[in-house]
Amino acid sequence: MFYYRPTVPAAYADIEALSTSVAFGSLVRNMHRWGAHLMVLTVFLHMARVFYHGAYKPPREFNWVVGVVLLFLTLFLSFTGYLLPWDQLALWAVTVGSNMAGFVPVFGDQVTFALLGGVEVTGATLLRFYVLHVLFLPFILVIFMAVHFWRVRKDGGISGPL
Amino acid sequence: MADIPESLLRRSAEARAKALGVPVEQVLSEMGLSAGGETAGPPAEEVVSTGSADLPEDTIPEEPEEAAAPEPAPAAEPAAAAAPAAAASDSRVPEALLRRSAEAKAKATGRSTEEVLAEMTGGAPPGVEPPPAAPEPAPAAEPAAAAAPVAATETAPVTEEASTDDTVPASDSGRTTTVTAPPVVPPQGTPEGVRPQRLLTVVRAKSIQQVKAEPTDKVNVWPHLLLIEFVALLGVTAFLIVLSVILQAPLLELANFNATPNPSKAPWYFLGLQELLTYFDPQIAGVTVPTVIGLIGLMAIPYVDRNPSTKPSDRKFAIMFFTFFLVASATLTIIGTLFRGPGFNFSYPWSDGIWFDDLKDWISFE
Repeated sequence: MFYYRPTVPAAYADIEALSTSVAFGSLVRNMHRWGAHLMVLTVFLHMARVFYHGAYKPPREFNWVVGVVLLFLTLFLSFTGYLLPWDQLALWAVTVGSNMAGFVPVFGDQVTFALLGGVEVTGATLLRFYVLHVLFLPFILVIFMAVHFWRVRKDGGISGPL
Repeated sequence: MADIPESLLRRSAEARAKALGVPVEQVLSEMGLSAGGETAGPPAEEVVSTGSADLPEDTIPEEPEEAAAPEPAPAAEPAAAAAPAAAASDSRVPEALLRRSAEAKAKATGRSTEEVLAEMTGGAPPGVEPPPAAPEPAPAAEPAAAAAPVAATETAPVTEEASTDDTVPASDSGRTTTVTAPPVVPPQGTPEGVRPQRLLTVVRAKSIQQVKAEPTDKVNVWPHLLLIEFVALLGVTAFLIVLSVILQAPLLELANFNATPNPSKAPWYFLGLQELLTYFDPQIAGVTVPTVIGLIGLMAIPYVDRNPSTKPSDRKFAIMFFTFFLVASATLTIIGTLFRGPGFNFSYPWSDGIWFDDLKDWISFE
């Protein structure tokens, strides 16, 4: 946030500067990116484990639902972060990804518009994703995580092994 | 014998001594004698008959007879001679099992099944090395083990023992001890001291031991859980740092609306969907699958699956169902990530390269 400005002219240059002229900038950026991928992977694995242990069964049904919400929040968080470097990879990955949202029946166009702040990925999208990524989604995510952990304790600790 | 811990041996002797009303030392020495196998003689056999007759139910692991009655079995045995038949009934092994083991053994030793069967049921040639002792922890195993060498060398004690045994169940309401090591004669080539394979009988499933422990105590989250979690946190952080030192996060050229890369790919966790889009109409692959299966389906799992059991064997359908989707999405994702090249056409990563920028140039030191 100190080194990055979510605007079309500045974003890419800021990322480049971050990885070349900031102390440990490259390392931190790498950790951020690989950590994000690992996070998504871990969430999937966690979901599979919970399923195979049958840990979603009463009384934990509600916590499973919270977990599914967290899964999608994680995906969305990762997805919004994907755009921020504003390179070719980011631009077109998000374009492809958000095109899928356009297939939503009836509201497809509106969903895309709300997501991108326009009909296609632009500087408005960059700003929008930035705010979602650093402010809005973490906020929601922390709330759901708190509920998730609270339910873990309330429902009786971790599920046992098979 | 060497593989049975001293303490187990002693415990078993104690239980037996209690049941028989004799000193522990005596039983222990007898057990050592009978377990040795080579010197099994009259004294050991005496223990046999009293042992199987008198042991109260709670001191021995009860393994009720699987075959219907001890008597009709030998009569039904077609091919075997009279003496082997008696021996077979004595060992209380269902005929089918005996036969199966004989077949396996015949195959292993290269002889005919009938020959092995006859040998197993008591007609073993003298001079063959006696079979090893039966498993120790069950005291009831002793009689059989002690009897086995005898059966292998002479036939007379066998019939004698059979007769004692036959009278016992009548008073014992059909409850007999069945831990029988059928006289497995080791293959001819087995050197002295080498333990040949043992054949165990099948008994009704009933655990001797309470396997599943009830929770007996509780521990605090700190330090018992949090310490482990903290160590895991350190480990993951270390791994991430190492990974980040080695692997550079991709940064391609500046975004350009006029240069669509070929292929354009979504982030990897969406590539399964993108792959699906090549097969189905967007309405199905882009909307129905993620919302109905992904969102609603996942959330509904605990409300649809009301089966309270968490045992895998009770939830075969649920596991199968979930695994199907898991494997399907993993397969689609892998295909979409690695096996799709320009134009999103199929390509092989080993010949055409990787067309996924997060993985491209993975190993590159800066």
